[in-house]
Amino acid sequence: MSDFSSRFARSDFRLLVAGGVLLLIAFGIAFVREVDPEWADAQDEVQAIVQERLGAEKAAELPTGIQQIWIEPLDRVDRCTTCHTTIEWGAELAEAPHPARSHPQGLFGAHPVESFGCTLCHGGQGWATSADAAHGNVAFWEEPLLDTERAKRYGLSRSELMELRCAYCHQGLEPVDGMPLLNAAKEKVFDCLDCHRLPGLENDKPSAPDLGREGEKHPSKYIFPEGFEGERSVLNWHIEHFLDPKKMSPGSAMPKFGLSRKDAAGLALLVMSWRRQDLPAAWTPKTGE
Amino acid sequence: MSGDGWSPRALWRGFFPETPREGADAIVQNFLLHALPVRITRRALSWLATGWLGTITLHIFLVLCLTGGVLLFLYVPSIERAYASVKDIEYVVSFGSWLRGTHRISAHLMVAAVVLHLVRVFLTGAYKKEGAPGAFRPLNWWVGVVLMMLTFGLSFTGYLLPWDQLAYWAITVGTQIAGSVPFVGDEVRMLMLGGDTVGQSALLRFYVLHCFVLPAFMIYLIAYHMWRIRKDGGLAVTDRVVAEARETARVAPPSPGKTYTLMGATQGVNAQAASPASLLARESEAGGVSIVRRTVAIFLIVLAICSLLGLAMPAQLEEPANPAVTPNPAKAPWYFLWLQELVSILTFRIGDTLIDGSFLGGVLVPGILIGLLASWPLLDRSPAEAAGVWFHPSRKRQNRVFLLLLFAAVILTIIGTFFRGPYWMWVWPWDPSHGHASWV
Repeated sequence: MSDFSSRFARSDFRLLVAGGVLLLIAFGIAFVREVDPEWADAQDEVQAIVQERLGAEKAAELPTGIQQIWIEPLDRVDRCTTCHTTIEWGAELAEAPHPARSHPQGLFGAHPVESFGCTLCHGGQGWATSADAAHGNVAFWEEPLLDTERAKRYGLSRSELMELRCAYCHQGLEPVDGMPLLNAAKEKVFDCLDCHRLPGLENDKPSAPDLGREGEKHPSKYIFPEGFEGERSVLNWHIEHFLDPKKMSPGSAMPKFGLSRKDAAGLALLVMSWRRQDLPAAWTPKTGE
Repeated sequence: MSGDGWSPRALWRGFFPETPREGADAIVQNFLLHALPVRITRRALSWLATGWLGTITLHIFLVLCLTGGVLLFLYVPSIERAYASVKDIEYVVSFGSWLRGTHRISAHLMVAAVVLHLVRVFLTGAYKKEGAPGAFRPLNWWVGVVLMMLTFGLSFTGYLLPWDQLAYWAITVGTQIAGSVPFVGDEVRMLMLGGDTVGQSALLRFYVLHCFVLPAFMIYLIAYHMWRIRKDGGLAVTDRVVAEARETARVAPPSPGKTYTLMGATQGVNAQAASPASLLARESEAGGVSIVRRTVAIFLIVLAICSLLGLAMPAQLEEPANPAVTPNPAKAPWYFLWLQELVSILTFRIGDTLIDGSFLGGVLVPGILIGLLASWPLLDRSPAEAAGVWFHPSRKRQNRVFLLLLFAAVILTIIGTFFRGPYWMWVWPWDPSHGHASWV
């Protein structure tokens, strides 16, 4: 027996125990995270609101677990409905606090949620199942949720900012119902034809850059002047550029047009929407629609 | 136990050897244990002799096999699905984020551990050719160098799989450097990528290499690496114990009555047994229990640390791979940044001629270093006593040069990681960096 009593027996045994304990801690943390995810708290919150406003019977109808809208032709999956479980519950929850608030039903007519999902119009990260990541307020996610707070940074309302995403599909220079800011911009944009080529409009002698696909230019290609304060976004670059072209693009031949900030924002959003559209036929809106 | 029926104790029988003979039998007869020594010297068991870095590396590899084995069921190696499948692992697969985080951090740790292991072996002269009769340690050193390169290869191929911007551009930079080899560079790059740019064929090649080819080589060579340790008479530090025992034996011959009691089990097949056994026995203990206990303890600690780090530092996933948007700067994986830094230092302009440092810094320098590493056991002229000893005086100069080169690589890696910004210009880590703009 004595031959097995290693000089290291005691310290190694302690190490063994320490390893076991550490491992249990790791497994414990992982287990707790797994059984109590962030979205479960959100579902509880919705549950409580529905119970309070509509009674326990209604609350029992709420789905549990991760929910998703999968739109195969668009290759999109939106898991927003994991927390926002009641978006289709209509007027009864129209004024309820998030995440229990229902979606305005009118827009669902032309854009049924089961074939459009959420992020196509709202932005955000459909894959995600935690609030920050889903709302796109994380590193490496390029399309954040277009919410009121973000719109305020540009002096816009939420629906005005969202017109950008409307215009990703509803392209062309015809006015479209429900897009007042961009419709106003479309009226002004024909003046740009003096120098630029615009999407769908020919210009035989353009003296300025072709803007046909300006909306595809990646944010990393935009250069901000030294010491630029304020939002470092493509939208802001375009707004500032419309207000004072030489400030953002030194040496530019483009004159100042004396636009209001709102007009500039409308034009900026319009320019940003000029990108190729890659939609199955069934999703492509008709002209002026 | 014959005749008195089945007892649940039968399940455990054999796991608790009661005599040294049984302990030795357990090692010899058990497949999983047969790579372990029957007897081990206390000096080899100590922490200071080796830091147990090889064992630690092996266990990190096991953690990688465990987590990677599960990820195999979840990841789709197609450029359309790869990124989305990683997002799903992050957001909807049970324990997925933990699994991926642990796999990633373990991969980084394995690169670090394997390099530290090599440093230890060098500084203790454990690769030296002067050993016990029949031993030839340089062979295991060469296997080790190949294992290190396999580790880099596994890490590098795994880098591409998430198919995000980090992956795409790190592999683009890495394979561009490989493409700077004179005459056959383009062919080498083509062989790696299966095309001119990083695309579906590259992803598939990297996937198959990462999940099947390289791990298979790795597992085979690790087994061989461990078997060689036995054939070389145990760790190099054991040679010292044996030599010292011989010295003492010469002064005071052992009583013959004691030679067979402890060493009987080994049948005189290894280096320890070839030495005066009674003296050596005093320096050693039965291998089975001590080593199994030590190994399991290290495995638990390694698994626990990797798991905890995987929870604390979840793996990032950048934007989807976009060939049209080059990050500035595009950086290779961190353990290759000293080479990228070298490439940038060696790239300069004389008049109108641009001297491209890719071949010099990215191929020639690492090639020479690997060649030196491989041939060093044959070039090292220090005496036999220098094997298995930390910083032996006779190896002072080579240790200094080795540490200097290592230090240079570490410094360049740190510079490349933290002090290089757009256009590979110097930046301070605390300078505000704007990154690129957002859309809205």
